[in-house]
Amino acid sequence: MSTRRFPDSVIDGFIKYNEYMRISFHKMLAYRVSYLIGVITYIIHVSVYYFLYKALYHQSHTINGYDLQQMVTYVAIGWISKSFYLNYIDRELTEEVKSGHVAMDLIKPIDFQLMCFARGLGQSLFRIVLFTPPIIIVTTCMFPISGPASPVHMFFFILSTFLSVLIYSGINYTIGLLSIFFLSISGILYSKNMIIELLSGLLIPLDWFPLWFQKFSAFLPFQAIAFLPLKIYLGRLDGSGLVYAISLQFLWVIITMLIGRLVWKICQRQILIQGG
Amino acid sequence: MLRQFIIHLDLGFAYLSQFMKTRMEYKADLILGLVTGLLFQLITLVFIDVLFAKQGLTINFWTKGQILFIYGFSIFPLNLFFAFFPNLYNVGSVYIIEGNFDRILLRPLNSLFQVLLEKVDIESLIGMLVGGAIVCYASAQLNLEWTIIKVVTFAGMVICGMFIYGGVFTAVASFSFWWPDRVGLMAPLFNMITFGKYPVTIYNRFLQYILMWIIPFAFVAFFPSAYFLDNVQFRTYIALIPVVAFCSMSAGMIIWNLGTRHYESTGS
Repeated sequence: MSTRRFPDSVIDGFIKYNEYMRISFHKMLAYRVSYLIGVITYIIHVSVYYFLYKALYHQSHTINGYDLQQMVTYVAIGWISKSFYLNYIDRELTEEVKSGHVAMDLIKPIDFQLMCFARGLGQSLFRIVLFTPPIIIVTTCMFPISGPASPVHMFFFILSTFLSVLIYSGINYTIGLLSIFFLSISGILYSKNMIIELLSGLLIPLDWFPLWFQKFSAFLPFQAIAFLPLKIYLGRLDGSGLVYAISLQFLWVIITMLIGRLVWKICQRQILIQGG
Repeated sequence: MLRQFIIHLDLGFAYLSQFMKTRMEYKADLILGLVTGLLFQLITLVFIDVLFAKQGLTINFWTKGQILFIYGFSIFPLNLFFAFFPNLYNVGSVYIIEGNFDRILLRPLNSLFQVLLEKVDIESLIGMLVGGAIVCYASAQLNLEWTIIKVVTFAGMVICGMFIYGGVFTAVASFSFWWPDRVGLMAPLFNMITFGKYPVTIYNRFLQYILMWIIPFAFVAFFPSAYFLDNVQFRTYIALIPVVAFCSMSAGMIIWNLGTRHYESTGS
């Protein structure tokens, strides 16, 4: 293991990790059929929840402080932003461990976590350029979605969603590392996706949950992935609340990265045993 | 015919016991599979619970108890399908692109039967415990009466549901014989299963038509549940459940057989 953990200069580092980003981008480009099918998948998700909420609101005007229009916007924008922040670095990590390619990454003079993050960013870059726009177009044509509360809210929503990418990558990286301990972690990855969908507030706003649960989820990183950005988009956060939300997201970016580094430290020992 | 059936049955058990032996080797993974299986059910349960948190809400007049019943029922066919058909997901990649289908074709056994039996996820069946608990809870809430006949009908409808999923996904997996692709159409179809967890009446006409006559997921859980919830409105559809299951599985097998004739191995 090389001791040169960090790049010599910022520019040097940028070029190196930028390359991982570029490769990820091109890999995504290669799977055209998956791309088209991915767009359809998002439309299916938005449709299910659109009809479900529409049926739920058939007698009431507002439920838990949201009217139907806000709810439809919440769900649609939630899935649209997911189409951007989602990445598969957990699955790639698992495959690398299984095939043994991870050994090649270990001998390179790069930081493993930053390399995985660069891949995640590459995927998100692909998504924002080619994947998210068609989803935006189709969903806005199919469903009645409101625009952002104001240009300021839009700006902070974009910033906040970018932070979601980093938090999501941080969680994905850490969970992906578990593949070093278990033979098949597809079940864990699947559960992780389900848990994030629920606890990030993607399926249902977190303020619909019982109060005790809201207090509990305030201490988890998941709400920073979807619930906070969506609250910003809908204009439910202003002034100090907005600043607080963004700072909380920054805090989670740092914490998830640090946890990832810690787990990686533990994993390095485990890898040595496996190779023996 | 009967002889063929017995041979298949006998070999089926041999496959299963071999598979279980390999599965038991990795106990940590097995336990992990069981835990994640339970978790999977729990997430939707929490979702429904939170959705109805405010008193008196209904989904187009379907009450929380009824929605829970439909969801509880839907777990049974889905988990049976997960248990016995998981290998359909690998048809495109492992069997066709990597050429493993050659090995299957060399044996004097039904090819679909062999592919299905090479991977069985028995641990998925644990989810049915949760399904059973939800159905019991919902029945108590709704004061439903259970008779022996109803229990037998329940089991029959669950198996029909499994074959509806089986048929649809066999058909889609068969498309890989013509257009080899790693995952292909499986993923969006897989997501469409979610539509079947809720009453088909909440969707627009277009989606209703698709869920009833093209990809008949409405017949997997919703129409069977309507029978137990004494909803006379859907009597005709309830009677059609076994017919739909038979047609779905037959269509899947016919398309599979057409596909195998089209199979060209990999390599030179």
